[in-house]
Amino acid sequence: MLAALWACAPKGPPDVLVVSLDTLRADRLGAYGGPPGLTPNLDRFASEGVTFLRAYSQGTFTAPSHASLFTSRYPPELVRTGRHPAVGGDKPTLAEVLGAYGYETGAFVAGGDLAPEIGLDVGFDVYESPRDFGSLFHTAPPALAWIDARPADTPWLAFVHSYDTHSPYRRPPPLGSLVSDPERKGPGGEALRTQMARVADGFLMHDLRPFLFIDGTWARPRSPAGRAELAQVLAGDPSVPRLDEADLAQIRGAYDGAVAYADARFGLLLAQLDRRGVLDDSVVVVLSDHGEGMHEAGVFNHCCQVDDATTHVPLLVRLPGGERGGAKVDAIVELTDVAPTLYELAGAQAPAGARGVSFAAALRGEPFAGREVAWTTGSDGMRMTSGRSRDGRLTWSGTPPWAPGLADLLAAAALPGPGFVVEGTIDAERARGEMASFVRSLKTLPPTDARPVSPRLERELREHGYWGSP
Amino acid sequence: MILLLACSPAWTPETALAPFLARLDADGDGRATQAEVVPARMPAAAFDAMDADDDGAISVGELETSLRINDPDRWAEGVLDPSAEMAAMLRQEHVGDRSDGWMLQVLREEALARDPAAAVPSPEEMFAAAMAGRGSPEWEAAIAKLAAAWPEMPASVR
Repeated sequence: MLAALWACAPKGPPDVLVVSLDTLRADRLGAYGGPPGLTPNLDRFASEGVTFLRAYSQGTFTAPSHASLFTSRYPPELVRTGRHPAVGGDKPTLAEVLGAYGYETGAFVAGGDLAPEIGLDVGFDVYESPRDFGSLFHTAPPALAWIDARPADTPWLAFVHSYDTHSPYRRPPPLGSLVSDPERKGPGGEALRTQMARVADGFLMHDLRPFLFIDGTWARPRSPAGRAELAQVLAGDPSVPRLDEADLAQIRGAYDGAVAYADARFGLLLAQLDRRGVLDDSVVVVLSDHGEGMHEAGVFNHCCQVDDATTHVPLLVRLPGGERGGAKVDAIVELTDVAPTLYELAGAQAPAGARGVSFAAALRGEPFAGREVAWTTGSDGMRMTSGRSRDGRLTWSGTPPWAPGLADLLAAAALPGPGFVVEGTIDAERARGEMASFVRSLKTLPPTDARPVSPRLERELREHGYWGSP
Repeated sequence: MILLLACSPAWTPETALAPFLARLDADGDGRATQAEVVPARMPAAAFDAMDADDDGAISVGELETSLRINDPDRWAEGVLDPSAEMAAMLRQEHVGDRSDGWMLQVLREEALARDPAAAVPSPEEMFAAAMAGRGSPEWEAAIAKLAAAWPEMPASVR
C-alpha cells in the first residue's frame, strides 16, 4: 500500500509530453459528446485529466498552427505565405524556453508540414521526423527510446505528433474500417475518400476551376451568393456527379475509422508510458492542431473553411498522478495558451510578447474565466479571420489578416454581407469591432519571398491534399 | 487511502484495445469472429493474417501484434489522391494566390451587395488588374471603377 501511495505522489519538476494528433476534431471524442465507442482511450485519458471543452486552434494548417502552439503567437505574426514560419529569436519557442530552464527537449514528428526543413525544430535538442505524413506507428517508438535514455534527474519535454487522422483516411482494418468501408468506390471508380478534395456542395467536380473562379478564393464559406451560383452551374452540368447522403456519410465514416485507429495507437503509447512508470510523473497534454471539415460548409478537408469543424480541437491535460481527473473546463481557451501554462507548471517565465494566457489555475481547480473570444486566422490561400465566442462566431473571408486597410474594411463592409458569416446568436456589430481590434493588434510580417521546399516534400504535400499552399 | 483510490488503474494493451474488439463482437459472445469482422469491411486475407492461432477470432494480443508490426503506410501504399496534382496545378493558375486579386474580389462583392446593378469591373478587367498588380494602370482603373460603385470604400485598401 505504501508503494502504491508513493507511486501516485508527484515528484520533482514535471516531465512534459505533448501529443499532437493532427487533424482531430473535438466532436469525434466521446469526452466531447462524440459517438460512443470511437475513442475509448482518449475518453479514458480525459477521465484521468482535465478536459477543456472549448479549445480552439489559431490556424487550420499544420505548420502555422504548430508555430502558434510553440510560440504563443498568432499565425500571421509567424508566417505570411509559404511554409516557413519565423520562430525563435524574438519569438522563442516552448522548447527554447524550457531548454533554458534545464529541460532536455525532443520532438518526434510525422513530417509533412512539420518536416525539419519547415523550421519548427528551433530549440529542440533532438528533432526526428521518421516518415512524411506518418503515424504514431512511426513516431512513438523513437520518442519512447528517447524518453528511456533521459537521465532521471533532468526534466524533459517530448513532443510527439502523428497524421493518423489526416486525409486520405486510409488506415488498416479492422479499426480503419470500423465505421464505414474506406475503399467504397464512388463515381469514376475511385474510393470516395480519395475524391473528397473535389466535393463541393455535394457535387463531385472533375476539377476545381468553377469552385475557384466563382468563389474567388479557397476560402469557404465564402459568399453564399457565390456558392449558390456554383451549385446552379454544377446542377446544370450532367457530367458532374452528385453525391448522395450515403456517399457523404461514407467519407465521414472513413474519417471516423482513422480516428478509431489513432485512438488505439494512442492507447498503446499510454500503455508504454505507464509500463515505464513515467505517466504518473509527467504532465501529458493531448491536442490537435486543427479539425477537419466534413461537408458542413460544402467541402471536406481543412483547406477551405474556418469554423468549429476546423478549429474546435481536443485539449486534454493529465497532471502527475491523474490529479483532478475527470474535471471539465467550460471556459474558452486557445492553443496559444498551452505554452504559457506549461511555463507556469515548470516554474519558467513566459517570454515577452507571448499572446497566450496560462490556464494553470483551471488545472488547479481555481476560478478561471478564460477568454471572451478565441481567434483563428486562415493561412496562405485561406483568407479568413474568425472569432469564436460562447454565443457563436463571426468570420470574415476574402482578405488575409495582413491585407492593407483590413481594419478599416471590416468597419465599412456590409454586415450582413458577402464578406461576413455570422453564426449563432452573437452581437455581430460588437464582434465586428472586436475583430477589427484583433486585426490591429497583430504584428504581421512584411512580405517576403517564399523559400521553396524540396521536390520530395512538395510531392508529399501535394499527395496529401495540401494544395492550398505552395 | 484517498491517494490510493485516486491512482489510476494501469494502462495496458488490453485496456487500450479490448473496447474495440467488444465493438466488433456483434453477438456479444466475447469473440470478434471472422463472421463479425469480415462483413465489417476487413478482407478475409487480412483477417486470416491477423488470426495467428487460427481460432477464427481476433484476440487483443493478435490485434496488438498487428498494430505493433504493421506499418499503416504499407496498407496505404500506392494510394494517391488523384485530385492533388490537378489542384496544385490549378493553384498555380489561381489569380489570387499570385497577387492581391482577392482584394479586388472582396471590393467587387461589397459594391454589388449594395447595388447589384453597380458598374463594377468585368472579370477580364479584374484578371488583368490582379495580374498587373498594385499600382499598375490596370489596377488603378479597376480600383477607380470600384470606388465609383462604392463611394464609401475605405481609401486604405487601395
